[in-house]
Amino acid sequence: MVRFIIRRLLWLIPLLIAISFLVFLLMYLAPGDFLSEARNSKDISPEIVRQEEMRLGLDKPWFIQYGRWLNGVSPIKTNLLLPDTQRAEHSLIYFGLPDFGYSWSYKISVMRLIGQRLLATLALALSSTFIIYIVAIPLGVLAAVKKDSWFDKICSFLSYAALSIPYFFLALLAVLFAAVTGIFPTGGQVSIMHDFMPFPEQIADWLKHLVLPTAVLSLGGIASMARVMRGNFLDYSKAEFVTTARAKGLGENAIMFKHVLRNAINPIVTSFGFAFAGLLSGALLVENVMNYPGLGQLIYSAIVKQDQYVVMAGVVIGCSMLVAGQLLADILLALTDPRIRLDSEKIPARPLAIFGTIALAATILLTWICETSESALDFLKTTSTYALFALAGILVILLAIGLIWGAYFFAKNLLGGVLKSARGIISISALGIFYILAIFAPFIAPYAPTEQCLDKSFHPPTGLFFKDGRLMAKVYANTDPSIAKYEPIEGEGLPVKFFVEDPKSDYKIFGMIPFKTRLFGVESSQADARIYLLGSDATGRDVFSRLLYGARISLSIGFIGIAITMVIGFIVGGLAGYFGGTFDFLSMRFVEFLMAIPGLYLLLAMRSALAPHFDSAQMYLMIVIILSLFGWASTARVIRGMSLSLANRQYVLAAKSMGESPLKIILKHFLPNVLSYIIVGATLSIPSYILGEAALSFLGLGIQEPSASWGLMLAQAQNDTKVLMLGFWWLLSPGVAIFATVLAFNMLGDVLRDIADPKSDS
Amino acid sequence: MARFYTMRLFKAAAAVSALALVAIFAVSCGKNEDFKRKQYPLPEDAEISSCKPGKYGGIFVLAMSQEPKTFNPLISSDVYSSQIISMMLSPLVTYDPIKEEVVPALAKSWDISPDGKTYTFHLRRGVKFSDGADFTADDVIFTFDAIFAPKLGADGKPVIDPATGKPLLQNPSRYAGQYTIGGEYIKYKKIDSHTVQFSTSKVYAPFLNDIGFIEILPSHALGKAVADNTLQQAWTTQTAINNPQSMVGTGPFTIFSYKPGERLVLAPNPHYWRADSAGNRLPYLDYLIYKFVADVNTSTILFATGQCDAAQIGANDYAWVKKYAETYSFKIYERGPDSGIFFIWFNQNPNKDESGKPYMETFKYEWFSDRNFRKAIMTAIDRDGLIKSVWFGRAQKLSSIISPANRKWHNPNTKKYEYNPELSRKLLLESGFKYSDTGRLLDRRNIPVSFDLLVGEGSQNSSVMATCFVENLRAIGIEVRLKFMDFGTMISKIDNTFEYDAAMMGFSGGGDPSGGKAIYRSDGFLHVWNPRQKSPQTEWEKRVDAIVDAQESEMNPEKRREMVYEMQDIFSEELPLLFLVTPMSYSGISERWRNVQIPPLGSIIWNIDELYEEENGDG
Repeated sequence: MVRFIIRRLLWLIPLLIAISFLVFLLMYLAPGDFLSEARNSKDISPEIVRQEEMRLGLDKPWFIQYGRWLNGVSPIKTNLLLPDTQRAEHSLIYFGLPDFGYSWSYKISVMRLIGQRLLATLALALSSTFIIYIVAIPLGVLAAVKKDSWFDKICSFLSYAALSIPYFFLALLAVLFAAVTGIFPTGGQVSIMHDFMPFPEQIADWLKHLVLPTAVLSLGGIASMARVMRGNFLDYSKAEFVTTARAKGLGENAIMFKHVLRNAINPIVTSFGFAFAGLLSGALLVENVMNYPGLGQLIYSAIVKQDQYVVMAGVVIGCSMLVAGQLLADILLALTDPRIRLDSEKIPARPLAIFGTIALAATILLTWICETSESALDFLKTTSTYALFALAGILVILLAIGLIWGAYFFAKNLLGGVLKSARGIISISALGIFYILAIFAPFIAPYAPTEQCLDKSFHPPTGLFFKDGRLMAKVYANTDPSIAKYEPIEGEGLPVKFFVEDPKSDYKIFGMIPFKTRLFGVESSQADARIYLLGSDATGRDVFSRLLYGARISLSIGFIGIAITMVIGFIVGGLAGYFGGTFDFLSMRFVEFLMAIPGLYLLLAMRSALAPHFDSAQMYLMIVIILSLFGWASTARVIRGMSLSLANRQYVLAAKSMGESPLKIILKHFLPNVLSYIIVGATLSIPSYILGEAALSFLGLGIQEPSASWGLMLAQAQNDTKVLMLGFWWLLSPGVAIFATVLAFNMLGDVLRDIADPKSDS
Repeated sequence: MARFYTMRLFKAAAAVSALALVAIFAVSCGKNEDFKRKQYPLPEDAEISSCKPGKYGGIFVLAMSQEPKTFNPLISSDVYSSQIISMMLSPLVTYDPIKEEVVPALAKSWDISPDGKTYTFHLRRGVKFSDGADFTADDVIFTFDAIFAPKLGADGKPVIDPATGKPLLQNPSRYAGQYTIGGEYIKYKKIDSHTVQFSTSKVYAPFLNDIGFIEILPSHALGKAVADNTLQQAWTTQTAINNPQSMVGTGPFTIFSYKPGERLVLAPNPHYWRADSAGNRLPYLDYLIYKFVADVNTSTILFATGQCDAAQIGANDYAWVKKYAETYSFKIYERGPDSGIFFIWFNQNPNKDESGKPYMETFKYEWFSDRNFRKAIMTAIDRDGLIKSVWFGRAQKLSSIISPANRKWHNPNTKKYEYNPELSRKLLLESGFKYSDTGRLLDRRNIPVSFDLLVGEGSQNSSVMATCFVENLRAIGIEVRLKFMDFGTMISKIDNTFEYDAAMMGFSGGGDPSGGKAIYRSDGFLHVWNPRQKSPQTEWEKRVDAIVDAQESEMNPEKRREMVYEMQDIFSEELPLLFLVTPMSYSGISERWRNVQIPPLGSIIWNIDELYEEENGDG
């Protein structure tokens, strides 16, 4: 056990070095730097900027900059990396406290800065964890005891709903709630008058500020934990010792609470570490929207300001917490369950050493080439571009095959089962409608997504009525342009026409056949007559049309994402399970590395490094690729586990001895066995792509204007306070759309899981 | 066994988290301190305010969307830091926004020599820093010494910057460049303990506004830092956290406590040099609190819900904020147009990069350097529509490089451009452009006209304006692609690699025209469409350069104004910048405060030291 812990902690060192290096490189590659703003300020002369550059070491090549940082962080330091002026003060090798550097924008040491914020984030994460356990366990138990009752059904629906609301949307609603009711503060950790309060009042004040962020952050956790609790409880209530206890005449309460509960609670308690680590990264969005001064808010603003050392330290700390949380979970599990032994596999020392040496040499060689020879660099660039293209081509083919195969398998083996359950029918027909709306968006939407009407900004949804048997759209007058107040003109209406000709329309069906007809529109001699089913935005664009176009992004992003995830995950996991040994060791360490990265932070850094090279459409693809590059790790791990056990089956051994190639074995014998898992996993992970895109676009880092995306449309409600304060509620409709779509996917995934794995009762 | 273990573990986990919660409380809750005002005799030369005498007490709360980065005036380069520093330290002279003139501060009076090159300041006697140390001419000399001190190498000689050939400064600050007049640093000397004299090598009209406004540093508190060469690291945010009392000043307030991410509390300076006519030392407030919030939106919400006392309110927010005015008893004042300017411009850089490739494709350079093309774009922008939809009518069209808010210098008669797509098309046809059958605009080489527009991300208004621009130009057959990017990336494109077609940006404004030199002059680094020219590329830029130089040594205010007017006429005629709109600005203040005076320009709480709370207030 002690060896296990030590080994895991040692493993943290290369992990942190790799992650910090990655983050450093990304920050370095992002154009501009911390001094960009100063360079363009009227008040700061270029000479000062140059002096600052020298002082911050920004004039040095990147590997020296990183070396210096690493030297500062490490307790064992060398004076070779110090600036000339300080070199004489230290010996070649000396010891010192870890120093994470200096925040350029706050002008204080990074450790102090992070210390202050970490405490706030820890308080939030702890209180949320606490609430999650306190609420979820009784809820889960109650739902299990009253299985199939109304209470159980309501709980089950609410937990679906809670899992489907995006954090940032919920946070937005919470801020709105706070602003309108005034019961809770709209943000901050303590109130303005905090310093002037007596101690008990200070505590009350502090707690009051914690309520809303905790509520927002813990809702999802409560839902998922209550579901797990209910499942565990039901599992154990069928266990043999329960039958024995009943046979012995033990009371039902004693059985349930003394025997079942204690066993069922076990895995939940041990997942404390995971839950805690997860909350830390989930806090980023909540802290930002709710103005809570924690680590997430700090790192986000540091990324935006390119305050390099704050970002690096933040990511390193976030990552250590994640690993610590997982370690804690493992230890708790081993402590509570004597069957589990914490032995880790043998390290294949020699191949690893060879591999490490080669990797190190290659890195040094590459660095050297990049710094010395221009032509070699160009050669490298062109070859790697071609290689990337070739790789991308292969991947695209694999993806297409994967998607088609997956769809075929789904239709053949699962669809029938899905249609047998009510939830299945609801979810699949809802998704069907969404996809039809998205695919035919140019036909169904009455206007182009960019078409503006500056006379009708923030127009409310158009009312409809019948007159003389014809469907009419109400006509509105802007009665107070200073607050965008519209009132319907009594008795006036424009006839709604179906299949109208729109000469401005320039879309082509499936990209080929030009089409000039739209499903509906209003008939009027005036050019600016509009029908707004869901109102209009700041420049009079139709929210309904934009919602439909935005759906194309949200609904396709999940498919492309999971296709990449599942293909890579299957190949890596399958091969690792088949071969074992060094390949298994290396790929699993890499998977652990990916899983230990606080994804959202790295995503932000990556996005800012790559952003200038892409426009909105390319950005869309890039977001999917980035998201799936993180996503495949957990799939690979599960598939590896499955193929490990498959590798020893008789028929696989037989195929091996008959000399079939590994690829054939994997495709012919492994794939059919794990396909249902893959499809269930895929369905359940589509929402994370939808939410990921929405969150990025919401933060202004994803799809950009004038394109439409659900996250981007919601950002308007967040960035323009008057939207909420003057009650332009229809601009929140993208939040509802995200919610409905994610809910449908979660439901479908659950139904599929029940079919694929009838044992699990959830 | 395992089960007992579980329960115990669970209980332990619960207990640990509860304990941790309490522990975090204890740490995050500060000490509760009562306010005690110390009374010291007034200085001999105390300034007696003409305000109505008020009562002591009250806490004034402001929300700030960014934290101060430093409290060291030599480092400060952002308005947030400067705002706090101006509360802690006083300058020699200051600007009274009601009288609209320069008024005495630490200097009770000043003389200007007949040739306009020498300024003598007479300092107030008896003024003390907040720790009780005397303020004298030595502090003024100390401040300027610190600004101009050269950086010394190991050999004791000044270090020369290889890039410019000038000596490096020990404490690089924006002041050194600003105080270089006619290529030389200004000269200064102490005449006696309360008199200092400055001289310049040539006449510099904005001398008082520029040199008189610098905050004077305490030599007794910072002398050691200068001697150790650690002035750059003095008075950081860390100082404010650990030891705020060490930052002594002559301003109305001193720092009481600072919690990063939360708030900054200022307390009155017990030695401040102003008093009311009843002989009470100002300021009246017990505390002035800056609360840090994530963004401007949050600060507006805080004001609208009565949680802070004053705020700037954007034209965008006015409509909803005023709904709360009665509930939370505050008043909103219209302050006229914003002092900044907002514009779109085209890259007109004719140069080539190191490999000999021009920054701009030749055909694009031809479009963008054509004045007719720029005029056509200008008349195609529906600014009235923008004002109506985005600002609900609370904005004006901008037509000069100096905002109408700067009443002293704004030229109201520059050339105006109205929305007129027909005229726009005509102008383009005149310039040799033509239209294809599908309505796309083609240049004389039959290349379809299209370009990228760089837009800074994160601002709702600029993103809305950019989408309107796209639609407006689509209507005259031009395709515009928006490129949103963070500020750093954008700057490196427009200032470094010059790889862009057009961009949208704003400059803050106000103050003396000499502050805009970097924009107006062809060698300026903010002459964004073609910066840092070795010699002016066009006739009109040459003329502007000459005007900018001439007005600086013109002492006659009328003649100076005429020159600045002519410069604005040139910019509006040549349109290197396509001016967009300037929104109205609003300020709100809680009704419980007395002595509030609303100046035509600038901060609504410019006289925060004179504000006091109404008697039946609950402070």
